[in-house]
Amino acid sequence: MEDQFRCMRCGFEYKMESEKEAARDRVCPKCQSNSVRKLSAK
Amino acid sequence: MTDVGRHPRIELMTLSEVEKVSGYIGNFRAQVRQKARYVFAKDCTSCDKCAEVCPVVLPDEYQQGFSSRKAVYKPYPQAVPSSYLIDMEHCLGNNPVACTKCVDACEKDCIDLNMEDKLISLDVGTIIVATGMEIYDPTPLDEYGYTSLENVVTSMEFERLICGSGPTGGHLVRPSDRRSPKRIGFIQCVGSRSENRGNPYCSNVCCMNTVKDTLLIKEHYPDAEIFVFYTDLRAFGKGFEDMLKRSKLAGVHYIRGFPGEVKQDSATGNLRVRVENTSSARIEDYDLDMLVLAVGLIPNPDLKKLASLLNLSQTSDGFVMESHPKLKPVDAPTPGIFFAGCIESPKDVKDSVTQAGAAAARASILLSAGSITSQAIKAVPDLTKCNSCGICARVCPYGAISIDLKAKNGVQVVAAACAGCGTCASECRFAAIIMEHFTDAQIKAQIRAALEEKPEEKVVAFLCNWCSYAGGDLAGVSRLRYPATTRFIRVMCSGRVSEDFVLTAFEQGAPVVLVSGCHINDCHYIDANRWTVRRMDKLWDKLEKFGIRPERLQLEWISSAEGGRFAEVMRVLEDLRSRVTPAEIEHTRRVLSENRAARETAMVPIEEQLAR
Repeated sequence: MEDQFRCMRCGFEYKMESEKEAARDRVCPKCQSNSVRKLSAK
Repeated sequence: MTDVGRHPRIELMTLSEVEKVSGYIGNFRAQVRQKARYVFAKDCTSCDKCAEVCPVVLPDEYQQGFSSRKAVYKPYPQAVPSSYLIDMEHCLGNNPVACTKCVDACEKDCIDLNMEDKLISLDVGTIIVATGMEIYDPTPLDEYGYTSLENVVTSMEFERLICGSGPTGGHLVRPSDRRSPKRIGFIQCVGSRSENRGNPYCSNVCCMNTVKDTLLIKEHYPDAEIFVFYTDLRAFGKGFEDMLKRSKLAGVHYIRGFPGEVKQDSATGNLRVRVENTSSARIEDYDLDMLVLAVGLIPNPDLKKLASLLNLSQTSDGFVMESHPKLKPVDAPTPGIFFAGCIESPKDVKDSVTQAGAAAARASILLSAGSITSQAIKAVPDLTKCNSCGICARVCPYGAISIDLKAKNGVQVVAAACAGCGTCASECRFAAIIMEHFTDAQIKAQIRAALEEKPEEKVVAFLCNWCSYAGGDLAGVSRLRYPATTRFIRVMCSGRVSEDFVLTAFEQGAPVVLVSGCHINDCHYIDANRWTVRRMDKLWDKLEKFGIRPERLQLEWISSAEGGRFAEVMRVLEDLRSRVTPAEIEHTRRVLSENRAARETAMVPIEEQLAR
């Protein structure tokens, strides 16, 4: 299952598998920030 | 193993599984299921008469399937206790009884087909976990033909083929025709050091295992031609470089490059390996009789279950995480639990033995002292405020909080088990948990002090003690330059940063707030920072609901070694701060101030907390 995330630093949105996301740091693929917010739960 | 079995003060419980662990350092209680072996180990003389008559034939797991065993068997010749056992999953003798040949053949009457599992409760002071590892299954790597080509074997299978106590008595033969191979290839890093296929980490032992195997082959079969395909050979450690040199001097060919294709001649069973030799920059073909895949090591598949029983933390590669990589390399984050061997990372026998010695010493220090000195930062429940909701018990990474949800008589914190991360206090909506030395009142007082003058020019950063704050220290001693507008508030763990602290900072006029802690899987408090992530998600939602730009709240994981990253994050925060308008700050203050009454309905007033 994929979740949607948004970077709270650069605004970049992307999707990632829930399992992968839970296993390590959330990192924005664009700016490498960890301020990444999960959107799909909304 | 035999020495351990004979030791008067060691009770060896084989065929046993830990099912439940409760308690804390010095007072653990473990429930162990000792599985029925259907043979009285003390009476069995290993005469083998039961196995001779057993009609069930199965692949022998110890010999990697190269020979067979019976349903009644001894796992391997040196097994302790030196007794047979029955594989009841395959035995024909039970439920309903269809065969009792082994029972009839046993002269000592030591087989009991009705034997049952035993549940044993053990009270122990410390626990050492040494559950080992498994090897990587190369089936997904199709290009090597492991499942389709008979003469392609793993390094573990090769170990049995060349071992004196193996199925061939140490005579190296290839599986397809039992002929001695003359040209043998080894492929390194199978399932290791690959981001996409296999595992990203180096398995540590494969290079030297291959070098050892090449020397063994050359010793017994000097005419054999050996080819090792590799990208890097890692021969660190005492005597290893010499071993590698000896292997090269013995005529072993080391070829830098990974094979992309393995084909078999169906008539002879011989293999043709195509490889790009990166030293000569040419595509080369090698004709081989046998190919060995030097497979990597992976964590034991049962480790996840064990980690949840013992509150162990696992790194992203699945091995357990130590309390501190340099200062406490054999300690688990949960006090009183230690580990040794490949449960922590792939390692060879020497390193495993060293680690086992260290773990035993660490455990004996605790046991001989009889008491421990614990640090003072602890969670203390305030039962007058507690409504027994149980959230604190759920979030505690150490299982230090217990609650009787039916009795609703408040929580109990085991001080010896509490490590002081503060996650429980942050999650409690009723201020019913006081974190000694990091109370809500103390932290809020720091927020207020930091934002007392010109708050619009300040960034409030909550830093965890172990990683981010240490990262800041490193940035300082490295003389890295970053804006001086940030005000740091140290907490033991990012899990301690409650929703209320962040909202208080915004209400006091902070344009930007940062929460920073250890990287996921590196948390000093097992997995407390995972609760930080959940809280941040909620906070971003809440800020948006209040009409506050959620981007003003930032989260960064900074380790103690990332001084450069710390400085970079501070520069980014300053940039963010400069873009927050005074109108935005004023709006935030007003909204949060209006909402504060609702937020604090259940909270204890700050003055009362200070008095407490």
